[in-house]
Amino acid sequence: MIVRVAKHMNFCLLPLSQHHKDMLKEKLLSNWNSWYEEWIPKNDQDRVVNIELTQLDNKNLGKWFGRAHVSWYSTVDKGSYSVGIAHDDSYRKNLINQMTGCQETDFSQGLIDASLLMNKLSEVFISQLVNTELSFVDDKSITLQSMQSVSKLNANFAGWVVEVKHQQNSNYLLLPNQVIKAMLFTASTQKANNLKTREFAIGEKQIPITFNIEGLTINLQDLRTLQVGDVLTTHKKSHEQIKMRVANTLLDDISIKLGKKQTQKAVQFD
Amino acid sequence: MTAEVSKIELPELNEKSSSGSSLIEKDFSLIKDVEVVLTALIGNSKISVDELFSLKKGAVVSLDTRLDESVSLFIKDKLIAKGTIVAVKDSYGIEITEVI
Repeated sequence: MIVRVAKHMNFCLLPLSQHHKDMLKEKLLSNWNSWYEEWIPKNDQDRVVNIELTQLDNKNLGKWFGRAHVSWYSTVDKGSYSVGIAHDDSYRKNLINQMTGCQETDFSQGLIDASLLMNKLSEVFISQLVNTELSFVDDKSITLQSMQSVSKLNANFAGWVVEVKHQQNSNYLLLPNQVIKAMLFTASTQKANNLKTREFAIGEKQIPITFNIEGLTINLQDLRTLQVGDVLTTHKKSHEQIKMRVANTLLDDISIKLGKKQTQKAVQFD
Repeated sequence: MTAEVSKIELPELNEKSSSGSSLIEKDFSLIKDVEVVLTALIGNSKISVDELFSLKKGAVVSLDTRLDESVSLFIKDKLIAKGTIVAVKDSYGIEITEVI
């Protein structure tokens, strides 16, 4: 994978105005899926470029991660830029699979498994970016020598864009800015809700359990002549003989008593 | 201690027509004491994950087998016999009722 600063692009720095930042924050904290459509001006479609938004938290790099499919367009002649955010399944899948090799998790809400992907992506991105000279269109440049540099950069600039080439595909990364934090906050909240839902679903899932008398042994001689009326047993005490298996996994060290419940065999945990 | 070490080249072995008596006589006594492990299936049940994790001492789980139903004896996954559960001193035993 090649990470290259997109110095030939017309935009590198994210020049969001305070108005746009406020709007973005407000929209991200509300319903950012439906907002995308209404916020992208139709007459600027030809200037739309897909970029990837990535947030690395200043203080705890690696903890936060969020992403969105961003349509970026500029109206340079008017001296302004804007950014729109949406999520796109194929784009997300493509990027994540190719760049991280991670298995896809639940992206139904446009979210990712933060711990899984952050570990992978931070390794990839940061290792590639260290000692990489970043050039910006306004002639500013900076060399990332450590993660601390990222924080400093973040403090001075709203954000920056790098081009990430992997195989024949290009993706564009926008690294930290304060606006994306708002998005991540929303994302993490939704993620938490998803997890809750998932736990609930798992809790209801029915799983098979089996109870056996285990540890019975017989030698081949006796097995050969086994006949009705023979009794097989072990030297173990009865409560040690009964074993519980959950989906074929033996749960040892549980004392189980055999009994009945009405007309059925039953077991009791002792 | 030093020893002279040299490479070896393994000779090609050609199959010859088997003849004469068996090298190992078919003597079952050679393996008669080999022990195999058996499992007696008492019964199955299904519970939810929530129920599984909330199981406590004293909890009772009903199985899918009737009281008078025989238990199946398996060697690995192979059913070899059926029987009934009996008490042998402080242990459970299986009295064979049917050999498969």
